[in-house]
Amino acid sequence: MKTISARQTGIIVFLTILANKILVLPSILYKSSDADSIFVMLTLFLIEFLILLVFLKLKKNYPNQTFLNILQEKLGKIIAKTIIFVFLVFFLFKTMLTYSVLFVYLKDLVYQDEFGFLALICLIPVINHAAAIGLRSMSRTFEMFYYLVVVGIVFCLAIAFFTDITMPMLFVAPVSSMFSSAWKCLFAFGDYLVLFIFIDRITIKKGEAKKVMLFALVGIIFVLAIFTIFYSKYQLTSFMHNNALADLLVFSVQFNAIGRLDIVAMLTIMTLGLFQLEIFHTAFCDCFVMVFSKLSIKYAIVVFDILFAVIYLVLIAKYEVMIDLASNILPYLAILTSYLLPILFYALSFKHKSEVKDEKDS
Amino acid sequence: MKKILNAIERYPFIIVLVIILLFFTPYALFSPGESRRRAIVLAIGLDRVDDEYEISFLTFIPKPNQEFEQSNSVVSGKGSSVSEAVLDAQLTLGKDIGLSHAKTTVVNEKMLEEDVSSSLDYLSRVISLPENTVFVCTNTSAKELLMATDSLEKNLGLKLDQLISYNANEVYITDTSLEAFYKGYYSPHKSSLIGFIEHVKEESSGGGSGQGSSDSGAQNAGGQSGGQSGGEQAGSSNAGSSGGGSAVASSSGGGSSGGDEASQNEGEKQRGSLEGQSQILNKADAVVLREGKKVAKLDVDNLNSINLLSEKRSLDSITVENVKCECGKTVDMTFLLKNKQVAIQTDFQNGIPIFIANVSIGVQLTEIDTKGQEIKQNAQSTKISDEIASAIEKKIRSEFARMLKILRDSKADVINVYDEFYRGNRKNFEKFLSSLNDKEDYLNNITFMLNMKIRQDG
Repeated sequence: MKTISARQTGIIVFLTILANKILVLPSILYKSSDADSIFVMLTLFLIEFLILLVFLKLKKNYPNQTFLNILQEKLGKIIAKTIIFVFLVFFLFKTMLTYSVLFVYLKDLVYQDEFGFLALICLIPVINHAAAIGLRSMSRTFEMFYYLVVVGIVFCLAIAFFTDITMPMLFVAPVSSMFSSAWKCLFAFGDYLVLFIFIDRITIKKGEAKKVMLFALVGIIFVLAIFTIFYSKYQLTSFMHNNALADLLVFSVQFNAIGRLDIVAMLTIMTLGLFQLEIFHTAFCDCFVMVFSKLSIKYAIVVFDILFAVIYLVLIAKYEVMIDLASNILPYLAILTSYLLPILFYALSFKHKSEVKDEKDS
Repeated sequence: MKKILNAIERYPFIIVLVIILLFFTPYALFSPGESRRRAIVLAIGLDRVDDEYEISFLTFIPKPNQEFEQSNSVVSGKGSSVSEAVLDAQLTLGKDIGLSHAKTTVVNEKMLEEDVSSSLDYLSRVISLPENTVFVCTNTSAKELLMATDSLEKNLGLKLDQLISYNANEVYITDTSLEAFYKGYYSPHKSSLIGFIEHVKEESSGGGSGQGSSDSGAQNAGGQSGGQSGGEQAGSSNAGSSGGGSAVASSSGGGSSGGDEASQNEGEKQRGSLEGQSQILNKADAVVLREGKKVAKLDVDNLNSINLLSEKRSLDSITVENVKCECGKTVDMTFLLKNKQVAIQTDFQNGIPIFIANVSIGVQLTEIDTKGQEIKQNAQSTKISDEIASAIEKKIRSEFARMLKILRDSKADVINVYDEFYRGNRKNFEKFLSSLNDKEDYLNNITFMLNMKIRQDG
C-alpha cells in the first residue's frame, strides 16, 4: 500500500488547520466577541490538539488497520458504517464551506461578476483528479508547495507590521458571547479528523509523532498570529473585512501608493484553498468507499460532484446561506464528529488485555 | 486513432479538458474586451446638490498612444440616492463601473452636514469600494476637484492620493483613508479625522503678472517653469505641460481673493490647476467628524499640536517671536522639532482623570529673522538658552491648548484619550464615565498635563 510519511501527514495537518479560519472567520467572531475571540480560538485549538493525541495513540495501537476495520472490530459493522457515514456528510459540508469561502474571496478580487459555474468547473476537475490519483501523490504535491505557502503567509503577516497597528482591547466581551463565538466557529474546526480516515495509509515511525505535532503547532501559531495581527490592525472595523489574511496586506494607504501587493495573498490563498478542497474531497471519497465497499473511488467522485452541484448550487446557492448554515446548524454535526466521536475513539484506542496477549503470542 | 482512444481511456480527464476548451474557447474569443464593458474608476467624487446626490467618477480611458500619457475623464450622474446616482453615471458612461482601482474618494463639505457614512455605505458595502481609498473632503465641489486632479496629474505628475499619502505620513496622526474614518466612526467616541483639500475657482483668468514671490516658489516646487507668466494663454491651454505651467501661474496670481489668500498662506505646499480656472490648495488641513458629521476644522498648527502626542509624526517646526539671541538682540527664531520622545500616562487623582503626556523634544534652530538688524551669528552653533526653551515651551503649550479647546468644544476625541484611559485605568474610567451627565463630553472633564523637556538637537 502506498503510504505517506510523518512529514507529509504533518503538512496535511498544517493545511487543514488553516482551512476556513484565515479569511472570513476572524470577522464573524469579532462581531460576537470582539478581540476576545483570540481566547475562543486558543481554547478550541487546545481541545483539538488533544484529538491529535487521540489519533496518534490509535495509530500506535493499530498501525496497519483501516479506520473501518478498527471500528468494525470494536463496535460492529452497522455502527462502524454509520459513524463513517456521519464523517462522509461532515467532509461534504467541509468541502462546501471551504469552496464557498474561497469563491467569495476570488469573486471579490478576480471575478467581480458572480459566475459560480466557472469557478466550479475550474476547481472540480482538479480536486476530482487529486482524489483519483490518491493520497500519496497528493501529499507529495503539498510537500512541494509547503514552503511557498508558509512564505506567503509570513509575508502577509510581516507587511502588516509596516502599517499602524495597536494591540486590540482584550477582556471586553462577556463570557456568554465567547460561548456564542465558540459555537459559531465549531464547524471550522475538526481538522485532524481527516487523519482518522487516512489512518491506514499513514506511516509514523517511532519518535516521528513529534514531527506531526510540530506541524500542527506551526499551523495553530499561524492562525492565532493572523487573528491577533488582524484585530490589532483593524480593531473596531474588523467586522467589515471578510478576507483577513488578504486584508492584512491590502488595506493601507502607504502600500496603496506603491501598488497592488494583493497578488501574494491571492496566490497563497488560492493554493491553500485548492489543497484543502483536495484533502476534504479525498476524505469524502474514502468515507464513501468505506460505506459502500462494493463501489470504487470513481463512483465516489461522481457522487460527490452530483451532491456538490445539487446541494451547493441549487439548495444553498448563496455564500451567506452557507455561512449561516456553518455557524448555526452545522455546529451540531461538528459536536458529534469533532468532540463526541473522538472521545469514543480515545476509548477504542485502548486495547483489551486479551488483544495484547494475542498479539504477543502471534 | 486506437492509440488516442486508449490514451483517453487511460486518462479520462483529457475529455474534461476538451469539453472545457470547446465550451469556453469560443466564449472567450467572441466576448468583447473587459474595458469595453467596465470602466476603471480611479477616483470618486460625491456631492450633495440641493436634494440630490451627484456622483462623479474619474475614469481611465484605455487607448493606444505613444506618449505614455494616461487619458482620464470625469463622468457624473445624479439621483435621489447614491445608488441611483451611480446607475445614472453608468448610463452616461455606457459601462459598468469597477472600483477596485479607486484610490481617492472626495466628498464636498455639504455632504458632511449629515452622517456621511450612510452615503458611503452603498459604495463600500455593495459595489466594493476598497476601504484603503484615500478619503478627503473639499470645500466646493468634489466633481470639480476631480477635474482639477486630472489636470494636476497631467501638469505636475502628481496624483491626489500621493499628495494625501504625504500628508498622512507627515502631518495627520492617522491615515486619512475610508478605513481610518470607519475606525473612528465605530469607536466609542465616534470621532474621525479626514484630510481637507481646498479647491479654489478663479473668477477671471487674466492678470497673471502680479503674482508674489511665494507663488513662483510653489511653482518651482511643483516642477513647473517659474519664469513663465503667460496668464493670457491660460484659457486656451489644455493638457500640454508648458500650457499647464502657464495655467498655474495664471490661476495662482490671477487676482481673485482665493488665490491671493492662498499665496500668503505658509502651509501651502502644492498646487495644481484646471485649465487656468481653478486650483487645488493643499494646506494639510483636516476636518474632524463626529458621528459622520463635520464638527470642526483643524489647521496645520492644530495638527502639529496633536502630533505632539505621537513620536511618528515629525514634520513640525515652530517660530518663537521676540526672543533674545546670544548677541542680546531681539529676534524671531524658527526651530525644527526633532526626535520626539513621548510617553503617555493616565492616572486618577480624587476621582479626576488625568491625562499625562511626557514629551521630550529636540529642537534645532533653522532660521533667525533679524528684523533688519545686523547680527553676526551662526544659526547652527546657537545654544538654546533657558529663555528660548521657555519661549518654545510656552508657544507649544498655547498651541496645544488651542487644539484641545477645539476638540473639547466639538466633543471629538481624535487623540485617543478614551483608548488610553480604557487601557490604563479601565475600571476607574468606566466609573468616571458613568458619573458624567453627558458621557460623550468626557474630554471637558479630564485634566491634561503636558510635561515638556526641551533639548538642543543637531
